[in-house]
Amino acid sequence: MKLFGTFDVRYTQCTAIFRTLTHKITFVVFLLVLCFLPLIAGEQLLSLLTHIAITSITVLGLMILVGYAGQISLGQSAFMAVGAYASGLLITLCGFPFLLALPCAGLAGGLAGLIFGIPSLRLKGFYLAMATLAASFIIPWLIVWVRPDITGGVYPGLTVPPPVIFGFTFNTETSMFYLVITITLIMIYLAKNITRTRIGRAFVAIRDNDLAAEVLGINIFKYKLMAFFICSVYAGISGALWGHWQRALNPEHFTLMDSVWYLGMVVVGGLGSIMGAVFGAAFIRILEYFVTAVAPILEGWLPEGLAGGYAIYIFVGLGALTFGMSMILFLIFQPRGINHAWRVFLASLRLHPFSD
Amino acid sequence: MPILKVDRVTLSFGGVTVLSNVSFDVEEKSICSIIGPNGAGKTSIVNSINGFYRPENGRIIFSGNDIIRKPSHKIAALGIGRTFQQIELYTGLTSVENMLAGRHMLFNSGMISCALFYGKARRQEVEHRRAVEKIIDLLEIEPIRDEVVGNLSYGLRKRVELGRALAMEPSLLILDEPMAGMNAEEKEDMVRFILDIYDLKGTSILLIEHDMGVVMDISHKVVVLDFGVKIADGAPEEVSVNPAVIEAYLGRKKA
Repeated sequence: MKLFGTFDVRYTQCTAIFRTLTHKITFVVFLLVLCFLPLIAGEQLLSLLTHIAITSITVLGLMILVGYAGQISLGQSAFMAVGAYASGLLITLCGFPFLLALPCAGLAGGLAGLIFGIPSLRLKGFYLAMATLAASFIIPWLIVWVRPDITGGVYPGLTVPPPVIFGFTFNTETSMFYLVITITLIMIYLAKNITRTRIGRAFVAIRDNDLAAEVLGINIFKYKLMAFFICSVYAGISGALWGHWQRALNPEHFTLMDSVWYLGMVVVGGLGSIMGAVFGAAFIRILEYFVTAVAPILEGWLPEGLAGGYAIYIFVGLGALTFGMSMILFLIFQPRGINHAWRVFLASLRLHPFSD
Repeated sequence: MPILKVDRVTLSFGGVTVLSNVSFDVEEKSICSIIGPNGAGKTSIVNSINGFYRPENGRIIFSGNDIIRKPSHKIAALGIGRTFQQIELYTGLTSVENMLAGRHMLFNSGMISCALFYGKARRQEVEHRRAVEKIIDLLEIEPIRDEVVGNLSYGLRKRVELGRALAMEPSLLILDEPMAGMNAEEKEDMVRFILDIYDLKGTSILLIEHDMGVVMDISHKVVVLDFGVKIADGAPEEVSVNPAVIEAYLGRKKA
């Protein structure tokens, strides 16, 4: 919604990301807060924010695929694995610099996504989900069994060095935070650009009316594959960052359940909105953080012997419970996601005192 | 020289013949109408031209290209734009975005350029937005340019759909019942737009319509179909007195 009294006099203003001075100032303030946050925040908070940012990247990709192009993929975490291993192996084996390995990881993820996107030519919805499900099993299997001498298999896994850019090693939580946030902001900008140009419109055209899109000159198959490619490039980059952050890779880190969580984040954030991806990732990660914090407390309360008596079991059960619960509540009460609620909130602020 | 030549096209679905040996031409810079009772095969002809249906026999020649085996998006790229009987807009996009999406194939910016929003992508966004504004002007839909089309009324959606087809800058514009379900005033507007488009852009128009008044008024040529067979074609005044046409519409007089 445009502010009253804001008039576009150039066509570039209609699609501008920051339209008014207030937008620009808000963004600069936001950047400053991010810059100075590590000075006051503890490691735990920084680590949570880094995790949110890395997750946001992969959810952004999925948002373009699911929210814009209307396709579905249950292979997102597998494509993250491809990116993570590609970057890790390129640096340790081939001696690539981090700045080259990261785009290569994106490309590797993208190519994997392209292959598993091919069934989208014939399949839709549920059946496409089943076809992409295969990626969640095939890719980890390949990592474990094809060359375990290189990938390290399940045990001992692959040790990944911290990123090094021009001699600077990102080996602390703070430096990783800056690196990841910068890359995330760039990825958000790129995603926003894709959705506001011809490619984004072609995606929405396919989502809303694929027959009309074909008749009006959009090559559906090409754009479906492009959506899969872009989606998994994001997954690849996100996976690579995750690997460099955790510094240890294991195929068991990239499970089908994670792919489902990412889809859940897309829905919770709000289908068809770039900011929704960030909101969704933040919401679920913060929820997860609280569950982790609450689990040990619950352990003390629950009767002896229940849930095996271990906090980890309570955490796993409670995680699935809260995640499922929040999904159901969102679908019932806020099906258009956090992004929509946020827009409504902003609109009511602008209209104050004429809004209820 | 006809811009579109439909030559002995036969189409059937599982043994039911929908079109049999239908031939007709659309002359360049003319308005040609297809009429016929319900189920005559009017929309099937259009869908065959668009590449939705694959006729088993015959040829469809558009500006010298046989288009019968081409995929739909390539046929569109040759310069055939269309609207649909049931409105088929991209409901999640605004009017302007729908029209820009219609111009999709006139853009040639690639993925990298779009992602960076730099150079060609940025330039073309502005350039095509300017072209779309001209169409908005022509169709008088300025107030709804930024409305999401899912929220628009039926008549306006029909207009945006016409705008989207025009945005493709087609040399042949196919309109499938553009006036269905409209009141007299909306019909007048629509006819005015069609004539404006024809006068200003010289676009050849293939029109499917049930309103005989409109058809007889604006077409240069009328093709009549009945049960998948062409029973007459020619100038409106010839067709309207043709006994076969009268029989198809009104039935045979009892002897």
